[in-house]
Amino acid sequence: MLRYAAGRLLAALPVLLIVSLLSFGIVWIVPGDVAAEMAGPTATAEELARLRERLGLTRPWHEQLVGWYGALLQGDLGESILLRQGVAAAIVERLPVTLSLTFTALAIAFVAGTALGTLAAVRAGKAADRAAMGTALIGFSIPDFWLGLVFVYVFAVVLGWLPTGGYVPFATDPLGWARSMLLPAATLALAQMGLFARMTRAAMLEVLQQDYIRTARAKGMPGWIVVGKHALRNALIPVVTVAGIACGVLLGGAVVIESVFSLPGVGRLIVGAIQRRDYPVIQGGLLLTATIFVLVNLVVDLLYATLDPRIRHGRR
Amino acid sequence: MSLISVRDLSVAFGGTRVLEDVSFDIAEGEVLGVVGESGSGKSMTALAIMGLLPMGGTAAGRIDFEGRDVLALPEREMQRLRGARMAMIFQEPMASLNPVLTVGEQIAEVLRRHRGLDRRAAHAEAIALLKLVEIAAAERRVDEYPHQLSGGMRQRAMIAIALACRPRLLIADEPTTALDATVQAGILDLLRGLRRELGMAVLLITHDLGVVSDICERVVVMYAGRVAETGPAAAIFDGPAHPYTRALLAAIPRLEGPIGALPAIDGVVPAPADFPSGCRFAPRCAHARPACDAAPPPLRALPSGTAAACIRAEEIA
Ligand SMILES: Nc1ncnc2c1ncn2[C@@H]1O[C@H](COP(=O)(O)OP(=O)(O)OP(=O)(O)O)[C@@H](O)[C@H]1O
Ligand code: SF4
Ligand SMILES: [Mg+2]
Repeated sequence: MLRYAAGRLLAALPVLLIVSLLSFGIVWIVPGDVAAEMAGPTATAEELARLRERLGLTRPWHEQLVGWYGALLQGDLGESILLRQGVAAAIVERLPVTLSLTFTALAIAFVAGTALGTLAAVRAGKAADRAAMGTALIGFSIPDFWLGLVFVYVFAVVLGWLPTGGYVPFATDPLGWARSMLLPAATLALAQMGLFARMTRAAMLEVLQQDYIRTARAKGMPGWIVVGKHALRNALIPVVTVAGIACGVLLGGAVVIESVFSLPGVGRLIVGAIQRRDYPVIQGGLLLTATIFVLVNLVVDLLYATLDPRIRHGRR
Repeated sequence: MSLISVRDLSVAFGGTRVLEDVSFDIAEGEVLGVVGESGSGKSMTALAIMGLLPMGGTAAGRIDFEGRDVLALPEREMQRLRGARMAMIFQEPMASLNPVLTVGEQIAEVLRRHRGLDRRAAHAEAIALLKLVEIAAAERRVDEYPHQLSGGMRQRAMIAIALACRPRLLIADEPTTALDATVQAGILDLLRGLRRELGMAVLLITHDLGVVSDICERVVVMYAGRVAETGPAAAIFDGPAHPYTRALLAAIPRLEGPIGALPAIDGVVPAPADFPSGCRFAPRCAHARPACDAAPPPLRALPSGTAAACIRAEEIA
């Protein structure tokens, strides 16, 4: 298992390298003069030159590359032009919001999705199946920003049960944190929940046909153990593999949801940076998002191996 | 007093009856062989006894096991019998074990459920059971996963699961068909030894008439969802009365033939939807007469010591 984990970690390194190169290269890839765009149309030639200096654009590219990696290894992502703050500090400040949102949404989507999918598979063809799959389809097809607005209207404005937006740090008030997360996370989760439900149902239907399920029943195991232990453990294997991709989608969706629920997260930071051509922040954001994605997929790989001993032993 | 008594068992999927009027008994400690070509209903009979028919299958008739009709038992009660009083092993040892659970866990689970052992005791007993089925290095194997075991070892592990609670009836549905010839012999020897040691009754489904003559005391020959002939193994082999039984025996592969597989008889078993209304063997029977098509012949006791479902049994003997 340890060797497997080390292998996965090593395999992730090239991805991180490529992403860091891409982040570095973004200033070269975009059309036009980066400094001119950042400075705006009213900037004087002198201001422009100073900005170029600050961004290090005056140096030859290989020096810039060395400088970029040198700073990166020290955790330095440069300075935001507009925030007048280090990019790393700006991200670290907002990261808990985005991570809370994404992972709460992932947890909701996974738990509710697999439960719905299992229920649907066990009751295949019956009313419960149609109800569960109908729910999944609705979750799938509703745009999340619209659903978010409806949720805010119903649960926050009309019923007054939950706040309309804003973030409460977990450390200051765990209950307040949960209340602030519930609506945005549920909104974000819904589409992925539909995905998990469909995948679980399909996987479960196949697993329930397997001989080892008949064996479990021949052993006199009660239905809930046959389904919850013997079948689910196997059905979750393909479902877990999409959790990594779902997480990427959730990270992307978090950008929209943070705006709807006015959460001060990394997503809003990046959107603002793109609008105002704050390249150091864009670079940092790209790097961060990709790193999270790689880490999540690493965790997924390990989870996958935990669920399936055949992977751990290098078969298949 | 028989351990299990199957009376007029029929199994239907929707309007299609795949099993009809199947009756037989197994005494305590007896080994009953069930033979017949593919599609004759052997597995359905076994699954009906276990209450494990595939989705959509319904059973009618009576199956008295230890004095209770299992067809009338609620699922909850059946769960108490399955794995404890009656157990089953299957044809495909590769697919019959759960790939994500250790062998030990799959054995221990039954012990915890039916014998109420705690985790530690169940694990120890699982090792003892692996030793009972003659798996070497049981202490190591117990924590391995099915894919780390050979086909023969997996079937031994399945047997260990089945025997964990010392059932009174073991149903073995072609337990060696999927295995290499050399491994087959080992598994059969093991089953023979264990049933003598534990004194349980065995319902052994097989394609291999050699196995039947070897270890079965009585035989049920099935054809197209009905019992064609039944009786003591010796009587069946010495004086088969039903033309189907005779054809099976006549076609036993000689040395040159494929070993183990049921010998070929001209024609095939019809699908349940196409069962003839009279004797189901009639289309393939050399002795068929128009009278054979009137109704399915009932089982009749014959002087040879067997009971056969053939109206012409005496004439052709
Ligand atoms: N799920 C099912 N639905 C409907 N009919 C079925 C189903 N499973 C099996 N049958 C039919 O029931 C009949 C008996 O099948 P069964 O599996 O008992 O045969 P068998 O004697 O065990 O054959 P084999 O030697 O191939 O295992 C067959 O004609 C088969 O087509
Ligand atoms: S009843 Fe007729 S068709 Fe059937 S086995 Fe006997 S002789 Fe053949
Ligand atoms: Mg069969």
